[in-house]
Amino acid sequence: MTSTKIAVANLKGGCGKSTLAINLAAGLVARGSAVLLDADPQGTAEHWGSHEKIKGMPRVVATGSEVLKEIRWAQSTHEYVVVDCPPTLASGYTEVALEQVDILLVPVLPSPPDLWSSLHMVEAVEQARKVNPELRAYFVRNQIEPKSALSHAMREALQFCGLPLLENSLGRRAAYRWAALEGLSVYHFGARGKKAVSDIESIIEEVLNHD
Amino acid sequence: MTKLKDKLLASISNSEQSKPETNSNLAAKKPAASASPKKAAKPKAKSGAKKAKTQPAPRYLITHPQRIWPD
Repeated sequence: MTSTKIAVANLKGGCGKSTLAINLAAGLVARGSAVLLDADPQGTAEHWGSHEKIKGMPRVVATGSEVLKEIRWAQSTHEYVVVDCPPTLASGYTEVALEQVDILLVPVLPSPPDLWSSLHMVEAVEQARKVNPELRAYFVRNQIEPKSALSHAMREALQFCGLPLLENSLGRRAAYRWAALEGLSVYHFGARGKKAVSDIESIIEEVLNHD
Repeated sequence: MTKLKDKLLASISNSEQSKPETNSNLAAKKPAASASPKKAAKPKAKSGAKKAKTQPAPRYLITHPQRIWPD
């Protein structure tokens, strides 16, 4: 089975890795079989996945220390594999994931500390490409506010930071938090999740169709 | 907007240049004892000098002795 593997990683905590990974996996379910691997010992995605299942929700598997083994299993059984990485390189899980996946998404909040921390991912990508030269990596802006000058400036600044920047971004929307509270993705949140779904769909389309 | 972008980019180079203050690099920063400029020595108290009072007596002892030694 041909599988597309996407990792979501950043060494900065709280930048929206799990939110993006969960909703990305939920969006990919509509396109084929998808599984979300939670490689983060914090277990955010796993916790989300432990809620009562409704139709169209992706399966969530906690990898524990078996990141490589679980990615290999997932790619042989699913069309789409999303890996939610821990916010550290210390465990080695992020490096393993980057050496296996096709695409890396690095969510970045529109704040200077997030920008500084995100630059460490550029080095991690360079290391991973020694083993996985086909790895495509992108910055994804998260919690963007259209009227915020800093949000706009981040877009310009990120173009000089060593990884390509996705054209589409995630807006700052309550729907992500409310959906998580109910153990849902924004795809399962009705009209309240409509704009967030549009954000995720744009990102999926851009990532899957990007050369 | 461009100014803000430039400020962000400048903040990146600042953050790369400044290393975090860990115990190890704080120790490295600390100059060797022999190299450090000597502090101005405190004047030694003369041996026969009267010792200065360090704390004034509590106010009530002076103003209201009757509270301690009532009639």
